[in-house]
Amino acid sequence: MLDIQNLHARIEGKDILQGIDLRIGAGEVHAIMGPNGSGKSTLSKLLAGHEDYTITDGTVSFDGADLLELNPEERAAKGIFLGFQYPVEIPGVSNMVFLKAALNAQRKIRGEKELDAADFLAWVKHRVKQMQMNPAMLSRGVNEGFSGGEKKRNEILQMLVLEPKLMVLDETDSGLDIDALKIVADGINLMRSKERSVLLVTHYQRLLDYVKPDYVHVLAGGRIVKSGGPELALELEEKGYGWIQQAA
Amino acid sequence: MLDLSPFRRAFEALPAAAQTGERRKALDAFLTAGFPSTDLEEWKYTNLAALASLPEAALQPEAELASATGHGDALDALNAAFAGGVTELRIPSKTRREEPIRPSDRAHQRHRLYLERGSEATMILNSSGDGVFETIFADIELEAGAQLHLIRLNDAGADSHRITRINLRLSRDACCDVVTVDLGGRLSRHDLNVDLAEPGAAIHLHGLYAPTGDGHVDNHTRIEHRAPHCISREQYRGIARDKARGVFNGMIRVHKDAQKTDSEQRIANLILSPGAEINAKPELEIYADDVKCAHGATFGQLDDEALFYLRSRGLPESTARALLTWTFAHEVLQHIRLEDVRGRVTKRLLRQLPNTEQLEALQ
Amino acid sequence: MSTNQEDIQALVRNRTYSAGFVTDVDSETLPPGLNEDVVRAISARKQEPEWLLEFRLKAYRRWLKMTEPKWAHVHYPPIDYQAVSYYSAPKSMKDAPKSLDEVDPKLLETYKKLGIPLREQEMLAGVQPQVAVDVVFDSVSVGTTFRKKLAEAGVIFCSISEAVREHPELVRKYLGTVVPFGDNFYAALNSAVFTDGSFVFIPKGVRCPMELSTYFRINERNTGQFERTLIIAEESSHVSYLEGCTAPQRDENQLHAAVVELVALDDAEIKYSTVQNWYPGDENGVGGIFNFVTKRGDCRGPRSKISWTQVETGSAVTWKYPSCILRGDDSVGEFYSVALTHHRQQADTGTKMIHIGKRTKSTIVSKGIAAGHGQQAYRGLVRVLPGAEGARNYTQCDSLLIGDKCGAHTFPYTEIRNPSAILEHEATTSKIGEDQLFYARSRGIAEEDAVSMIVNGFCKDVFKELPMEFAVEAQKLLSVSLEGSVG
Repeated sequence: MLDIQNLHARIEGKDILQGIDLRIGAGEVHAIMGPNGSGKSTLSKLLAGHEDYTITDGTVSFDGADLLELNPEERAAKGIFLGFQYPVEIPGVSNMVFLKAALNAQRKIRGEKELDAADFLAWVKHRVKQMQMNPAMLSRGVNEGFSGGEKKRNEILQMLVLEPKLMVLDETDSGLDIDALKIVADGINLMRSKERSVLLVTHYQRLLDYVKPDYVHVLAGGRIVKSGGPELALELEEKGYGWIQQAA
Repeated sequence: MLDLSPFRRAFEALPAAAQTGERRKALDAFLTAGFPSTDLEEWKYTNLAALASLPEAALQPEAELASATGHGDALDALNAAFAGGVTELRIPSKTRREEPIRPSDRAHQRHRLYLERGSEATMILNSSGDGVFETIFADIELEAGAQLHLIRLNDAGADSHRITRINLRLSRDACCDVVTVDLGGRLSRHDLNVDLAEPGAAIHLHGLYAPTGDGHVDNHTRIEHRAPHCISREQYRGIARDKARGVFNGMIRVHKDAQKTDSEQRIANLILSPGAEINAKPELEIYADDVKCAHGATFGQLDDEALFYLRSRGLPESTARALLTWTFAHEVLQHIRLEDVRGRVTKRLLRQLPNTEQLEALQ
Repeated sequence: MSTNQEDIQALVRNRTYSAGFVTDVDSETLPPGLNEDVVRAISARKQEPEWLLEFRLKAYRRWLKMTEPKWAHVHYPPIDYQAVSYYSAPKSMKDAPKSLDEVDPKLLETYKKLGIPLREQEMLAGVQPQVAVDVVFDSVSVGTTFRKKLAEAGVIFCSISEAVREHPELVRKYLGTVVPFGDNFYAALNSAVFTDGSFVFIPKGVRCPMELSTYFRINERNTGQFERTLIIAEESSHVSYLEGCTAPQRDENQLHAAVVELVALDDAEIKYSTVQNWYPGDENGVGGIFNFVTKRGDCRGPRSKISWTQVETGSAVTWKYPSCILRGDDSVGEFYSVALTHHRQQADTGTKMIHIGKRTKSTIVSKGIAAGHGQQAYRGLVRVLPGAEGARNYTQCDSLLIGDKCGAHTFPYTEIRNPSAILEHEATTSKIGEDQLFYARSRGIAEEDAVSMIVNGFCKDVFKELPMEFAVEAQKLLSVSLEGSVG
């Protein structure tokens, strides 16, 4: 589904990614772990099409298409979803309006019929219930005045509503208490299927107790320095990142 | 037409040797231009006409001469004529001057201070004369990385009149921390112009103006963000009593190339008596898009909740009020880093605010 | 910089002005120029009483001694007041129509193009709530709808010319009492040569049964529009009034200098909403309306309330400060404004709140959006006089910048002379957030839609003050205005 080859990227003259190779097949869950500043967030934002980064080398293909050629909204329509590490507030624009605009814009690009207000409302309410959120939040501004935990939950809600193919979740577990973490994990698991893939970007192993990855990769210095199964995450939790960085 | 001849007569009373051609030229420039009219936006709330009817004894140009004079508007010319020259001072690169710069308390002063690369200094401009008209003009330049703590004080008696103007220019990463305090005088006008000329420069302004009686204090600040990544923080507080009038005008201009400017301006005012008046105008002019600028102004009574809290702890209402007014003003004084100066100004402030005798016990 | 900002600027660039057509109507237009004879000619043409001619002449003589205000943050070439024609009326109007059936079909067509149905049956057929409409085409009113229904409630809603004929005592009692004839340069000019505009009178205790609305349109070349509106709300009455403005696309600048006076007596309430979409000029700043307007409301009685809401997207230059004189104790003034400037548009707009009565309250919410080379200034005055015990003001003014060639400025004056007054003023300036844009786009929303969505969110506090139909119109207008701002 996703094929990253030799990806190099820089921002403001600084090389952040220095040759990433990563393949994610349909139905797989990958976790990328790594110390702060290793390039995890850069990789996530880059996949969603953030324009602050310059790609200096390498290729990224998604379902056979050259991802790097597409702008953020085209990537979204193709099925890429980025759960933001710091979800953005958009004052005055309600969650409802925002979600409806997003869903219908994506459907339009895909040549699908746009949902009418009633169908959309039913669909969103169903998802809100699954995320155990208060439906009143739908009429509030996007992330406006939300706590850190509420924002993260809202990210997963958006994901459930939009039903993407590849879910890139950037530190979605940070700032959550254990109850919220479970709800978020349930949301992610709800989306797992043979057609969908997940890329979890995280600093801690905690989330991986609830969302079992098929593969774990360690990112350090802009490169994947080690890959393995779920046991690698446990090892990292125990020993920290020091030994990996040294080994690299 | 205002009769400005008292200024001419005062000048001509100087010893002949002091009446140099330069000074006379400056005097003529002033007499021709006259005081700025209140039709001008910059002078909307302050009329200098009263200066023309001051008693002769109040007009005392300096007899002593220093080096060259400057050129500017009418007030600059008046200062040039009366101050008799510029006192220059240079702080050598990478040195810290421990002893604060304290120019003598002359009625008419003109300074040029130059902080070389990476140097540090503290300067105090003080006016405390009574019954005298004063003008203090200063041009201050901070080279890259230089740091200055500047204090401008005015705790003169009730019958003083003054005009001050400070021009500051900050180069790369230079930092200047300014505190201005006005606790006295009948008519004061202060201009403070700041040029953030190179990236990374930072200015912090803290001001308190507390006119009493029929006093009039006008503070005009202007911060020019000319380069990217500069920071400005400005906090002014005003307290007007009796029939006094406070004026504050704070302009912040962000030029086209000053991206990533970070600017914040806060103005708070208390009017303590019917008959007192404060006119405030925080202004923003922004020509760059990637900026974070905010300003806020408040006028108001003391916080009712805080008042109630203090009274519930047993303080009489008048004491509680005095205490809250005191803390409102003292917030600014805290930024004076010289202990002796802070102590002196604090004492003076205590004398000035209502019912503070009840606070002495609390000190 | 990332390409994002350039894209946004591209979005803003190609804006189309949909109201820019010209209607081919045979008009009777006074030759350009201004002198006492022109003032007399206008007055004579309108068969005005002597006192009104005197009012005009006094204003004209005062105007001659005045100079154009220069303090606003706007720049434009000098206006030749002798090159303007001060009166233009469609010829078919000469024998004033008795009803809309007699109105020239071409005019009705014009308004239809603008989306304003003038025929009552058309309006009734629609699903929209009933709105009574007065329409001013160049210098004259061409018709007012729903008169009968309004008359039953005792409401007078007609053109000001008609009011001078039919209700001279009311006009004489109130005209010029809020904005005196020599108030300022443009108000004096308007007082001398005003041609038409709307008149509203709501008698004591009456709640106006429907929204009242006036649409202004400048059609003729080289003419200025000098409308005059007067709204009087007697004790305990209530009215909501809307105005909309458009003009054809022309290469020369045209002058619009209106005066609006509102009077609210005890416990009365006037809500005045404007959607101003005069032709803004093209992207190089050629053409467009000079919009120099004096709007002022007098809260004359205790507990009265005047609320201004404006959405300003048009005009090349705007100079406008809808104000409230809070004379009555406990009276309330409000000002909600959205102003958008792009291409070479300039706006210097804001409000004055003059607190005279005790416990008077005012609220100011201003949202300025600058794009392209647009220049945007908020200028406001809050003045609390010594007698205004317990006065309150809250001011919020925010500016949003799109692109790096525009400017946003804030000039808030506060003059406080009462110790018990409490004021709070907050202002922020920021650019449209790239992180917000990226977030919306990463959810699949096209950049152009994301910009318009974020801008509408920014303006929400003001839009919610508009009557429903206008709010929808205003949102659409903003979106159209931002069309083409990302490429």
